[in-house]
Amino acid sequence: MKPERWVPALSITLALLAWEALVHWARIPHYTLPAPSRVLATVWTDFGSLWPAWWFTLRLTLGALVLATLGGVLLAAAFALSRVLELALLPFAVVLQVTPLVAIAPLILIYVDSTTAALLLCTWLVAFFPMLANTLAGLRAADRQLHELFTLYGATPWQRLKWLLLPSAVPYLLSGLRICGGLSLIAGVTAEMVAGAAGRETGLASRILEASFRTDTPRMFAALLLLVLTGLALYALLEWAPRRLARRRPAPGSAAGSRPAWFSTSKPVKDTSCN
Amino acid sequence: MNDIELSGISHRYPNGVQALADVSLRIAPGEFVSLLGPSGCGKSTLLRLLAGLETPSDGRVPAPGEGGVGFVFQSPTLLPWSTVRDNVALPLRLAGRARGLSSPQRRARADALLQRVGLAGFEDAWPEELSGGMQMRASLARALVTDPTLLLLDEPFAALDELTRQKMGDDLLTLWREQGCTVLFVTHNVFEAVYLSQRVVVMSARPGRVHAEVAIDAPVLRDHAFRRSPAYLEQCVAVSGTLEAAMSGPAAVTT
Repeated sequence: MKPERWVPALSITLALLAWEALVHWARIPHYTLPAPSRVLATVWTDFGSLWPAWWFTLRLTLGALVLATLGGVLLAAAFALSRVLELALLPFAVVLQVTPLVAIAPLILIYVDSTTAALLLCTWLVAFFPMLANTLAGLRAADRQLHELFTLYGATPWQRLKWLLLPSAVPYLLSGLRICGGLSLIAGVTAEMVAGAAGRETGLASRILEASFRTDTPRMFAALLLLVLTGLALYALLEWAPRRLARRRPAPGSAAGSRPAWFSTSKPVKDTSCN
Repeated sequence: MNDIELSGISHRYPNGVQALADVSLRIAPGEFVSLLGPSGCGKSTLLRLLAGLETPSDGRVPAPGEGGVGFVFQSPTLLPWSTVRDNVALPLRLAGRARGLSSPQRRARADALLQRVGLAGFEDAWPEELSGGMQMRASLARALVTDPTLLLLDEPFAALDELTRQKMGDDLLTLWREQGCTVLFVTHNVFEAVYLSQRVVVMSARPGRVHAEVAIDAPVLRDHAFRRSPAYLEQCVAVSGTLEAAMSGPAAVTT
């Protein structure tokens, strides 16, 4: 087996074993640091109350991710079509980006009645900008000579966007998606922490807060574990799905299932100035 | 059809580089003319002006005729995410309703062009599956798909090996005879210029201007026999001499 596969698995296993051993030998009370076995047991026993929270967090994350992707791509496309629009709106996007979520969340919670909607808005605010920036960079990365080709044949801005800019932006869009997936989860949890919401329609962050008030450390760890697993699953999905998608195209030449070159790398802009 | 007439064309890039100074040139319909010169002589700029990709700072460039302009870049410049057929059909697709061609008609037209450039059977291939020469052929097919009256080629074969380059040259001549379009071919290769053209325009650099024009005395049908003939070699030597003079001495304009 390749070291890329077994070395990380081994190091994680060893770390968990060391943690387990430390807790047992040093007799650390579970309200200070629960052993991994106890965390797993808590996930099992508390699953009834944890999974609705997990489901809420997941919906919040995916909802924000979808909205951020839609918003980012649409706005970037609009910017690509209209320079004036870009000049007018980009500053607002940057302002939103540099404003810390925890600082703006209380305001949003005041202005927006529905807590769920407020949380979604907070999460979207964080995830949106990387998507916009990445897509914008991708739209601008289109080959210069291809641009000239489109100019030569009198392409309309819409044709240029559809057939040149958006396809060029695909690899950038995918890396934007990977960034946004992680950010959505983090921002969703952060927003919920700030909101301090209680009740049925709340996520894992609220479970962690509640557990911390009761010093129920194992339960905190259990919720944390679910968050980490969700993050990992999200990352793996966004890493794997695009490759899967690319493979549907006919395999070029030699290697079966290899990606078309434009999918993985951006091409350097060729210099055609004056010759 | 009228001659393409350029007179007193000057062009300065925004960065201050004077690319062309007072260039005058007349090209007859159906003529094959090469622009030959060292790099920096503005031959590519002249081509870009004719294509409408740049506007001259001085002088007027005639508007392209009815069929428009076909342009072949230095690199094949194909869309990597489209099949070879879709790439060739792109100009028709961009023209949209203006040309009044349905999608099957565009396909048929693209396939016919691919057949003519020797790429039959590669319609559904991706550009990156083709060799450099084949990509150039696809690029040539795309430039011809709109039936242009003027075909502009910017050192299209510079990146190809010698044998492929000669084969492409022969095929270009065949296409030109069949199509009957005017061809303006930019190159820095003396042998290529003499072999292909009816007239070679030698340019000198800094600023770019026409140094001399050399009419090539050769049959319209050219083949390997011509490539080995003394007449070909003599004219290559003559054009080489003119090019050297253009690169060193002051302009001695002859027409």
